[in-house]
Parts: sequence; structure tokens; C-alpha cells
Amino acid sequence: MSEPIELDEAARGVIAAGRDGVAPNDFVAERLRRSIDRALGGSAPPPRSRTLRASVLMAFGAAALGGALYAGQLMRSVPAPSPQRVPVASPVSVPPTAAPRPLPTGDGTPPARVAEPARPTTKSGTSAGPAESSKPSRSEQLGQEIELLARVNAAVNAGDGRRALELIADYDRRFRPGILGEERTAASVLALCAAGRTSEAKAAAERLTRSSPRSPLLGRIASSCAGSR
Amino acid sequence: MSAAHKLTPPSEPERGGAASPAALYETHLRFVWRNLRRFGVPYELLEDAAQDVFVTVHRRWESFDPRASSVETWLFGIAIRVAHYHRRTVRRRLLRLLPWLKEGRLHEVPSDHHGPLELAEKREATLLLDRLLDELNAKHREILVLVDVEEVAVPEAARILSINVNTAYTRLRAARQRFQASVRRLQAKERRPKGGEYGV
Repeated sequence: MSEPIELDEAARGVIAAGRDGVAPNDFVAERLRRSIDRALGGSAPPPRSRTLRASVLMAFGAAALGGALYAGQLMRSVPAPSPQRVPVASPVSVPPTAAPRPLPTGDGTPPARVAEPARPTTKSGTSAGPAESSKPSRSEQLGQEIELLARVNAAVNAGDGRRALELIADYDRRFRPGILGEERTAASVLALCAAGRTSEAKAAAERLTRSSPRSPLLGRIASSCAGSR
Repeated sequence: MSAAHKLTPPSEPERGGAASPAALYETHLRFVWRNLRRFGVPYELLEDAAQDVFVTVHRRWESFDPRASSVETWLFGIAIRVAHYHRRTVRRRLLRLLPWLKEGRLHEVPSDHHGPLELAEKREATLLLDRLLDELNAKHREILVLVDVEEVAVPEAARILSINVNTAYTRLRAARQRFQASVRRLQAKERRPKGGEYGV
């Protein structure tokens, strides 16, 4: 038997510091739970109790990262061997306008199925289509708002300020004042920056600063064109 | 499919520390998530991989014998197989489609200006560990994660990996040597004068 060497202090330190590892946030955990339940053919359970605002902020923050969003969407489209792949609804990866297309796999296998946003479900777990429910529940509305704001972020990250502002206008029509009014205002600042409308972005940033002086989103705003630098 | 297999509130008697698959999800999602990453599943695929793990948990729940292994051991076995699939098949295929993604991951790891001993930030420390594990091959990273990160005894790790104990020790030795070499390389970069090559 080969006796394993002992790790030195630096290596042990690296392991100890990183031992906690990555963890899903509450939003992802809840979304995953629903995906698992659908894969098992069951109904979605009621959401766990969680701090709504904290979860939303985390989701919004994740959306703001933006870099691998579309890649994430593509990756989710690849079927797993087993069990049955259930598309994971991602509020941060929905392309703004174009319908998702199956991708060539490059190895002769059929094109991958592209994930679609999950339909909202009622508490009983049935699909809540427009005919069944004209007014979404608060949690359903939250999901819709997150998705729309994520699309705004995707447009901002793509440098498409005009599209981002269109989506903001869509948000206003559908939800204003909305559950995520603060996030909407922050997104509008970034959208205005992307559109080159700096003075309007600064005005919006000032409004956000006045209305939510402790908003964690202000840090992101400060690094935009509306920042003081 | 029986109702017990759905993600309903726990109702079954205690089994291996978990009352049901649903309870296991509550208590072990983080455990599964972090280890899928450590076993090499890219960040973008963690959600899909975690889904695979827990769907498998549901489907195999009846066959899980808490007298034969702990629930963590059982989950390790499932997670390693799922990670193996995602690493080998999905990632390879997608990297062919998205060659830039591999480079794109670099923004998630600490810059070279920060050595391992300066990384107080927890997130950075996690990313650093992940980055170093990424430098190992699958066999080495699996044994190192089990024994040195998750602190599983070597014989138990051998059982999880379906290898004999001697092989596990040999593999662990090689894994530690390589991991340590990676850490030393980072330390060497840390000691290098900042900006020296640019004459700053």
C-alpha cells in the first residue's frame, strides 16, 4: 500500500477556507424543488418559507452577472441520460424576443430540447393558464416580474438599451408599482445608461437613492453611468 | 408512482437520518450541490445535476439501506455518478459548441494578484478550492474531495468509489501531491513582485 503524504499547512488552509463550498440560493432551491417534483410526475409543493426580498435580491444579483446567461440556457437544453429531463425555468436566461431554437449537437444526435420557462402552478399544482386564472397570485407575479427584469438585464448586458427600455415599459404596463419596484428602478437606470441617456439615468438613480437609501442595488448603480465617478 | 415518492412533507419513519426524500432534499441539498461542483460539474449545470441526483434519490429510496451505509455515503455515490455523466458527456459536447465558455470561467476565480493565503473572502476561498480541484483529473479529485474536503475515512471513500482500499490510498497520495503542487504554484505567484514584469 502506498502511504498517502500529509498535506502541508497551505494546502490544508485552502481546503479549510473553501470547505463550505458553493450553495444554491433560496430561489434556486425552490425552483429546483419544483423541477424535481415535475420530473417525478407530482404536483408542485407549496413554497418554503423564505425571505422574499432576500431571495429576489439574490436572483436579481445573479441576473446582473449576465456573462454566462445564454450559455446557461443552452446548457440546460441538453437532455440528461436518465431520469427524464425537465426544463428548468430560469429567470435569468430567457432570451428577450427570439424563440429558442434547438441546437445542433455536433455529434449526430438529435438537437437538444430547449428549456422553456415553467408554467406557473396553482397551489393545487395544476397549470394556471390565463383562462383559469386572470390574476396571478403574488408568488406567480413575483416569478413573472423576476423573469421580465432578468430579460432587461440580459438586454443591458447585450448593450441593447432600446430593448431594455421596451421591456421596462412592458413591466410598467403589467406590474407597476410591482413587487420589485426597487429592482425595476435600478434596472431602468442601467437600461438608460445602455441607451446613452445619461442624464435620465442619473435622475432615476437619484430617485432610487431618495426612495431606498439603503438599497443594496445602489452599489451596482454607482458603477454605472449614473454613478458619481 | 407512489405518493410517497413525491416531494410531499416528510411522513415516513426515520431512515438513515432522513424521513423521506423530501426531507433529504431539505437537509442535504447544499451537501449535494457543493459536492457536485467539487466533483467537476460546471456551475451552469449544477441545477440540472442536482435535479438528477434527487430524482434518483426518489426512485431509489426504497432500495436505500441505512444499515449498509450512511445517507451521505449513499448520496456521494449518486452524486459521483451524476457528476461523471455531466462532466464527460454534457460538458464535452457543450464546450465544443461554446469554446469561449472555458475561458469565460476564469472571471469566477480569484485573480493572480491574490494568493491563497490572502483570500479571506469566503466566496473567493471557495472558488479557489474549486479552481484547484479543477486541475486534478476525475479520479484524483474524487478521492481528495471525499477524504480531505468532506473528511470521509479512506475505507469508506474506497467503498463509495467502488475501488479497493489500497487503490484508494495510492490514488490519495497522488492526488495530494498534485493538489499541493498547485497550491505551491499559486504561492509562488503570490510571492512574485506585483507589477514587476511591467516595470511598475
